[in-house]
Amino acid sequence: MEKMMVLQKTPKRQKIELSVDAKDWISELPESIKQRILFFLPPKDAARTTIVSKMWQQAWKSLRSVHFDFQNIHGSFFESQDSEPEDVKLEKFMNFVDKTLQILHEEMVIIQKFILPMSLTDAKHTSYGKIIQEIVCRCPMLEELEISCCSRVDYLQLLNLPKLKKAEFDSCLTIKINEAPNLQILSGTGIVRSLLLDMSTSENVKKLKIGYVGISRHYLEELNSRFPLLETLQMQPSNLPEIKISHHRLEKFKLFINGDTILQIDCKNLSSYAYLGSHIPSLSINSSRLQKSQNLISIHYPLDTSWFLKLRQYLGNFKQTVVLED
Amino acid sequence: MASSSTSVVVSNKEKENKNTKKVTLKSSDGESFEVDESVAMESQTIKHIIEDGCANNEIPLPNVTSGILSRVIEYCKKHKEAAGESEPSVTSYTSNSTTNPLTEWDTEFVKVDQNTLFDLILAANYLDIKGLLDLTCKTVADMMKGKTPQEIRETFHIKNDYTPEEEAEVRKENQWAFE
Repeated sequence: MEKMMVLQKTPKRQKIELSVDAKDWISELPESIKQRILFFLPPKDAARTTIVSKMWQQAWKSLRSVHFDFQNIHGSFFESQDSEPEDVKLEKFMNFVDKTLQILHEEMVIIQKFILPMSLTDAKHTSYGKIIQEIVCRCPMLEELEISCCSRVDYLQLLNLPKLKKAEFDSCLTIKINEAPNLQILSGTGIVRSLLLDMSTSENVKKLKIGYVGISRHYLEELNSRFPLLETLQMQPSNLPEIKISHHRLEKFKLFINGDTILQIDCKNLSSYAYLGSHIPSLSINSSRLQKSQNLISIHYPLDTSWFLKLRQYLGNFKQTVVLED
Repeated sequence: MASSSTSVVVSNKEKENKNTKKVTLKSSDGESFEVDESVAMESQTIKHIIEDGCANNEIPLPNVTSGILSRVIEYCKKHKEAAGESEPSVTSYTSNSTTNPLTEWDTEFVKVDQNTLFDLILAANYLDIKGLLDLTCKTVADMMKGKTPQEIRETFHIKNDYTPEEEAEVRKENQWAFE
């Protein structure tokens, strides 16, 4: 027997009958469904439901912490058995991402954290940067951004992200961020050629981590003026024989370097210093608050007296006793 | 639409009709519905049951009454037909009516009373039919859009369990939403 049309059922069926008017069925929906409903509301409306009842506040709170991790979805596009060429798969994946984000954009959903894995090896790289830019453009309320991709995105420009707090990039050659005044943590690891920020963006950055980047002296000279609120700095410059760090607020500094270098640190608030390198730097450091220092210097044999003398001179910079480890 | 024939042709597009296998779905109140397997497989739950080889005679659906099941089947049939014309899309819903030819049909489909809507949501969730779940949730969201919290409470008979102090605090937390 088959029903092809909807029939009007009489109320005699055995079902726990809900009294049509007074039952609050909606709050009894599973939280995932409540979240799905909130998902379809514009952000203001969704946030307003927090005062409807405590259950709805709960749903909202857990919704906001949902982040978009395309990792799992990515897998299903690329691990399929068919022999489609890589770029066709990429196209499909990107279309999916684009479509999803477009819908979210139209519905004005807030994305706080956005994780997009791009571990494609031999796909064409021409427009990755552009694709990423397009995607990020559609997330005006973005708070955290983490991009780790192959070193094929050569230029990435992100504009106007007023809520962006944290941005991490791995192996993108040139990164330019403008108008992200809330940016506090910025990390560019791997091979990063240049990190360009406009003043409004850099002035609130508290934690800066720069990977194997060609930082220029000029950049460092401007550190204090560009990043006035900087508290933590971690650097791995590729070729900088002379490093001068002068900052009035910097508290933690960490340097990884291969090669000889002359290090001059003038940071009166510095409390933590760490150095990992192949050579002993010539260090002159001016920081009365230094409490913690950590040094890891790789040893090249043969060690000669001058090396030890240098070491002693270097260690003389640090007040407390240092334990030497092999 | 033929209403009394006993043989069912779900799709008029013959190209995909190599599979006219049928399955029988049994509602919680004991009614049986025979549908094309491909239609039934719009439900991921049913799809897994079939694929696992557990669908011998009938698939019992103890969580779905006949009234709701018949509607769900109607939805699945309609969407299966439409999907037969175009490439199956990853997201079966959009808010853009120009890309989704079934928008009007869908809109009519969800013009039901709150109880039925509630049942449809739960059924779509249980049967794992994304399109239907999104459609029904979006409908609820549309019922909430633009309303004040008090209006939302009235529409859905939600009890306010906040004290005035608690409410003020929550308002403050999300101040931007109340401006």
